[in-house]
Amino acid sequence: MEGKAHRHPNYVVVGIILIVLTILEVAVIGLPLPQLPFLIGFAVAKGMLILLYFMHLKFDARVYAVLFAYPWPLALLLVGILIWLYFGSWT
Amino acid sequence: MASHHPTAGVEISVDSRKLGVWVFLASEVIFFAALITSYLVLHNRVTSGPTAHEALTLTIPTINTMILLVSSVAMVLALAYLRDGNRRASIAWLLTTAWLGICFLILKAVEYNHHLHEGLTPSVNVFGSAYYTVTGFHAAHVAAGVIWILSVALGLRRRISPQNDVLVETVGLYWHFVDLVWVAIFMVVYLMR
Repeated sequence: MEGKAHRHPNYVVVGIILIVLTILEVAVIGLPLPQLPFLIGFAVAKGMLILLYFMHLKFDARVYAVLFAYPWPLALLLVGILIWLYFGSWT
Repeated sequence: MASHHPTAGVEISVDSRKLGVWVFLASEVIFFAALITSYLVLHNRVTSGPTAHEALTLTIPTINTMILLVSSVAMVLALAYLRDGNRRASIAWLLTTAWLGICFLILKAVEYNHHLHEGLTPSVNVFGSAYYTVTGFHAAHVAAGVIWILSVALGLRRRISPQNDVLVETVGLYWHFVDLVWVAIFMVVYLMR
């Protein structure tokens, strides 16, 4: 596995972006908008920043990313089954 | 602090300890997915007692979110400084991370105390059970992380060197994952209430 030469990301800037996203996430609660897409979007953006830059998946060996990605389809299946069991349908 | 990554231009080896932590974190994904989904399907089925909308406020959880995000920056700086050979700065950032984790736990205890005085107990209704289970397991992970960070920073400080940075990197992976889980809990439990 060949590593690419790269510089440290500016971790403080990544942290500031995460805090700004959190402020926007809280601010959107008071707005007359459909909130769910915004909340999911902000949470996914924050999660990706943490995974890629703080956990170094953007720079590390690909095997770690593959290992971490592996349970996500199972987790989504679990979520679907639980929702189906409790609500009896997908809607 | 020099800005080049130590693996720049060289082959990246797969460290077995790091691999083990990633496998552990992968299993934790399933664990927290089950907990958070259980909360999602149960929290609205309240027939008596406080509901999520009545009981939960945003102030302490928002401050706790900021604390965990800043602690993640401190954690990643600890690793960066260690790789640059500045062991003292690395230990200082590790201790900062642990301190922020303790602040998170103190605020969590304050929040729980407020809930208990308002009548939201783990047994009051299905929302109470689900709420304390999800946030309690997360808080337990934070507590374990603080102990792990302190053991790396204090107990093992003589062994940590730029050549042995995997000790800091593995505890960092765990800590960032705890932060990642809180991002999901903050959205599902507090913002979607």
